[in-house]
Amino acid sequence: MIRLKSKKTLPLLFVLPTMGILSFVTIFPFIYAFVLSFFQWDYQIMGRPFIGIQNYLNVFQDGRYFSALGTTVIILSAALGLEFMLGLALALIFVEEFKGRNAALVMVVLPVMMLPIVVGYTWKLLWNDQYGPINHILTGLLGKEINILWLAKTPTAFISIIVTDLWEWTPFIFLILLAGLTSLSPEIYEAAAIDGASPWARFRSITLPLMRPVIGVALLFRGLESFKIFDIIVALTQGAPGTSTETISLYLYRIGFQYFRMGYASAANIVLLVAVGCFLVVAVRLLRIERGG
Amino acid sequence: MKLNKKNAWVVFVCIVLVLGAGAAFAQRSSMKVAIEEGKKYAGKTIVFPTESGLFMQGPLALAPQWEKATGMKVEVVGMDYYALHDKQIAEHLAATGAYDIVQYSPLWVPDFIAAGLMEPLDRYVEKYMNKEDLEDIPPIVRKNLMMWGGTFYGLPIDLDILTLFYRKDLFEDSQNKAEFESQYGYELRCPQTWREFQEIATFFTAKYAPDIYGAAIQRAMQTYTWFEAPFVAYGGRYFNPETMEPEINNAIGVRTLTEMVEQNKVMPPGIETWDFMDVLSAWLSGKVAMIITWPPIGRWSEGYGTYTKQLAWVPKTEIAGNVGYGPMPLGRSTHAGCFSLGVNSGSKNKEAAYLFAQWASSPEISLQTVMLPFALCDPWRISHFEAPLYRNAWGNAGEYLDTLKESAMHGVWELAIPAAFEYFRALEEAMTAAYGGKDVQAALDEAADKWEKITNRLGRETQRKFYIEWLRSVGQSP
Repeated sequence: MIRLKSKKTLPLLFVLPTMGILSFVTIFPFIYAFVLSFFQWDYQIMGRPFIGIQNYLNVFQDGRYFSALGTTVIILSAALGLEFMLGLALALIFVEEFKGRNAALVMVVLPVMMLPIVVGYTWKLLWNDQYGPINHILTGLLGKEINILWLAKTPTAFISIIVTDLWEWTPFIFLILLAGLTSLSPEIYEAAAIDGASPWARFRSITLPLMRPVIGVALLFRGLESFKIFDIIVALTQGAPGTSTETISLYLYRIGFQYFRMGYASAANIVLLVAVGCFLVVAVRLLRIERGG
Repeated sequence: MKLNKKNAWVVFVCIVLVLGAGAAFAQRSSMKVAIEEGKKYAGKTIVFPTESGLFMQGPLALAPQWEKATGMKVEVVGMDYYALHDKQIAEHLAATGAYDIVQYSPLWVPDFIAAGLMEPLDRYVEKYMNKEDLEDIPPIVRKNLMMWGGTFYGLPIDLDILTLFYRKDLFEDSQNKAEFESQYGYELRCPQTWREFQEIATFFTAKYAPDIYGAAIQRAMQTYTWFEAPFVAYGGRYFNPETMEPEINNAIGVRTLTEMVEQNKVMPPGIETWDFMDVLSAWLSGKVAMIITWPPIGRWSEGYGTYTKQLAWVPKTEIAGNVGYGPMPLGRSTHAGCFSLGVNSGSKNKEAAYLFAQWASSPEISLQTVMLPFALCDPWRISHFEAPLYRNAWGNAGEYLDTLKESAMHGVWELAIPAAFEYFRALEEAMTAAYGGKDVQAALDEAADKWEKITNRLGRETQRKFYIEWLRSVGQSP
């Protein structure tokens, strides 16, 4: 009996330190932020009074919050869609053997290994309208002088952000999809080929259905990560022109760590957390990646 | 107690000794006092947050002198201008005790005081500062860079004043003069008004672009500083002092920003994203006729110290000997930034930190700092403007110093009330939106709306009191 008890308690003892650390770095800050969200914790205001749900009410009246949320969703949708299509195309190419495949694989995966802030500043140079190579390449390709102010106007700033994000994160989706494709059994394709299925029919009727859970995971991971897009925006536009490219994480950072309105920032974060949680539940259902889905 | 003759002599001698010692102490320069007193803290380390990049080169170059003289250590930590505001508050609110020194721009002072970051320095100034050294600081600088509400909070190290630099060779070219006069009906000269600035820029751009453009002004980071001077010179007020309603979106604000958007059209393509470095390289390589920027570019234009390793990256000047100086049009230039050193109230080495600040801002050391070619510190003491060494540093250095001094004495001080930085960031967002094509009135209305929200949050009456106090401190009647 004693031995049985120790068998149960020993593993618990082993995971206890990890649980403790996790609680300290995730649960405690969350509870602290939740409590803070009911106070007017603003370094300019004396006393930090309890204000109930006022911060939450303010969030729902904050046009800039929803504007930043909208900007984030636009960038997320465009980048995620394109990254998925490009990542899938690359994965379908790389699932086959070809000469120089390993070297090419390393080249393709390289961007994902770089720090987003480094990527941001590097691309800022590339988008520079005076010295950046993008305008020069476009001038060469189109045969006429191209001088687009990529980061100064809202539409082109969006394009710049999305392309930069695409460059860095397509390899991430590509790697997950490549792993999924590699694990598919070749026999199914052989049988389909014998039955006379065209490559498109094989892709549509075999690859896509079998890959659905993997695609779901890739989109979910990348989608959640895209929601937090920060470094690239800071490096490229700082949210400008005006606040047209300001994403939700940049806005929350500004409220919290530039204007030090911690109570309001906490409430705004918790509202966002709930929204992302709802999005996640819907996404899991839609993508059918829950167990047995 | 009745004094006998012997006792009276003893008392007399003591008084003489005390007064003598006091007088001797008072005679000693602030630098020497700081060093002598600083020796008590030998072995201690003080952490000095400062602006990264070139500005940081000044403290890095001078700190070893202090370390050698006192035995103290100075750890210089660099961060960008905005982060310098944010991080100093964040570290203080988190009670990390990370920094001993506070480096601040005047517009941050109310925020820093609200956060409890600033240690009042009156007792240290009284105890250690040589009064003559204090009087060497122009009263307007003393009031705006050292004090808040009658209390000393810092010692200046840098008096920024935006300056108009123009190409004398282009302006004095007889053909340019004749053509300009025939087109615009007045003499080609350093622009006195913003209309002249626009017309001269238009003239040069039309004649020389794409080789040379009429003007260049940075439109990225801190672009609000170029709004302040014309806005105030046109008679604009940030708020109505009675109601605290913002006035940046009134006719004067719209005129100011509209003119800035118009200026962009005759400046190099892509000016909307240009920062300090872009303007610097275009100017030094002779690609623009006029710039309005911080004073160090004037020194580098003449090749002053550009041989130093810290400035090895600066493009070789193509315009040495051809540079003229002037204040911003209408004679009002912005005090864009400016820096002072204070003491962090959370520091464990407050007195040591103060002594270092006193040493750094003393006449002897600050002259070294403002003459360091690679540091971004500009003259601020009366003795700096008059120093023969500086006035002979290059051909027309005297003219340069006179322009800086004259501009500084009539400069436009940045709004310094609680959350000033937040107000200005909202203004900056409106400005970049207008540069990006948004209607000027709509952009400024949006900024005014944000200003209203900030004022409501912090309390209208509280903000009004601060605003009126600030108006008085900069010599404007409420």
